[in-house]
Amino acid sequence: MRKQYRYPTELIYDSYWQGSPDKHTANGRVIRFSVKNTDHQNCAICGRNDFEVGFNTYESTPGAAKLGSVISNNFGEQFSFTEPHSPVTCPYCEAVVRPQFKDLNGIVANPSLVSLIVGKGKEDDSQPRIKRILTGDFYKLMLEPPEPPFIFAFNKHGVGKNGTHFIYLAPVNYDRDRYVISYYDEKIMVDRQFLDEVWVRIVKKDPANNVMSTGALLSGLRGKRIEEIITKRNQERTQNATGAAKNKATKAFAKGKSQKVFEGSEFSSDPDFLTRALLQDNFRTLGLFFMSIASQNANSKKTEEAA
Amino acid sequence: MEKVTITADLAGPLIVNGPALWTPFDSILAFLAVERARGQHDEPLSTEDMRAIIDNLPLQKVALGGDYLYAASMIALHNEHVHEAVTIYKSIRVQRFIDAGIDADTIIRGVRQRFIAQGSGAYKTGAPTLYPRLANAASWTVIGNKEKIVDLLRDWTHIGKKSSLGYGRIKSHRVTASSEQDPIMRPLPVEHFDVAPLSFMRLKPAYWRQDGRLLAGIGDISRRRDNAKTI
Repeated sequence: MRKQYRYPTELIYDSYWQGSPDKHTANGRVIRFSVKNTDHQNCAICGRNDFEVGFNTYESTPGAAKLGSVISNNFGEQFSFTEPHSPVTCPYCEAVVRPQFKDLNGIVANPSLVSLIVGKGKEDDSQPRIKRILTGDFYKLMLEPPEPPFIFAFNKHGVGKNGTHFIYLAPVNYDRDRYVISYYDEKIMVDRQFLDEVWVRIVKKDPANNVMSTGALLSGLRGKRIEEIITKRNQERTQNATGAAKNKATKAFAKGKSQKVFEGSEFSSDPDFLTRALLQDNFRTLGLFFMSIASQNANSKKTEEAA
Repeated sequence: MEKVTITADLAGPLIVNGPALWTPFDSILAFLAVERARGQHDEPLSTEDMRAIIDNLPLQKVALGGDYLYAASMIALHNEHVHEAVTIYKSIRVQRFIDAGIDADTIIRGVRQRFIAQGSGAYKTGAPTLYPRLANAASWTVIGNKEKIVDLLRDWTHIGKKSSLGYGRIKSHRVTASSEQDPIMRPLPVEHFDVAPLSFMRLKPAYWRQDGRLLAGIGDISRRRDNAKTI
């Protein structure tokens, strides 16, 4: 029977570190030292208490370097911890509260494969177990998530620059068809069937043009009554609308290009599909999905221009 | 005990997102029962008092080895519409520090020396983005004592987060008889029920706690593998 992972940090401990993390160093010196957890205190970050040896959460070990604690004074998300008052952090959480994870845009991982989402120029596909992929690549993982258990997590605003620790906030997923993406402190429920539908009906038709325009279109339509938009669009098409009604219908679209895309898209002929796309979880899923595809399109364009 | 459906007509947007959508109705009854007990006692309730109240809600219990879960469904939203995201500005409430176990001296010193309510660090203020949902109504199906449920729901005014800002206001609610065929969809432990695993979840109140989580999936409570046992 495969191991069950309740904590995302333990999954990364086993997959990224292979159960044996490097000691945390600065300028070549080890700066975090382990402490005994003889009275089984809870980990400040995840709350587990089944570990014998942990690390100091807030206080540096006496005689050690200044940055010897797991959490620094600049960290500001203690309220997202399970036991923020605990002085001890478990070795699993300590192994992921490290600078190399803080600077990531995101991470997708299961026990056998880790995909680190990194900035341009840092991608690396050469290692079998740890891949460094770009923002333009993760949409493929949204369509085909790894074998469970897996985590799908992003840094604050999805960017590693000025990022913070985020892996401990991700739930461990056990279902590839309904999974949760942790977008820092937000949780987005992904319906893979809907994503597949968008892939087939929107993206595959003309990925270079459809994605950017559809993203802008959906943003422009948010907060407006879908039925009204559809009705107005039909009125305008049959040239029955005049004056204010026609202006309102035109303003419902963000840009002229979006309107063209809308007219030619599946959204125009299927109000139910459009309504589902604009509902909270699906809209946020599409935001990430389109961001990744648009990034890949931009990278491809630059590569072509350079060639 | 009878199967009933609780329907709440909503008076505006509500904020229920992510795994909170998996939280069953017993969480609402537990909140109402504890709040009512708080109002009836001069002394603050102890954790044990609250635990006893939560363990005796007027709902049918389904045995899970030495533990139990309540026969109560997750939220079902009716006629959901589109709503834009909103950003709110959170001020620091001293009660949050006390709840988190930070001692009063530190809090007082922080307020005086102005390291509480600053722009960064452990005591910063926040501006989180929230994602409200718009729906005409929300409903849940439960098996329980209808009279007692109706009585507890007299104090029910809001659901979801940020009720003090007006989100999740309930216009009216009703408790009606439910058909025997209506499923009770809720998180169920894979160990005892025929459900596909989804994530680790708590299966009884308080759902926000990290301890006591089991690998669970979403399914109808009737899909039990062994003989159904109710308490």
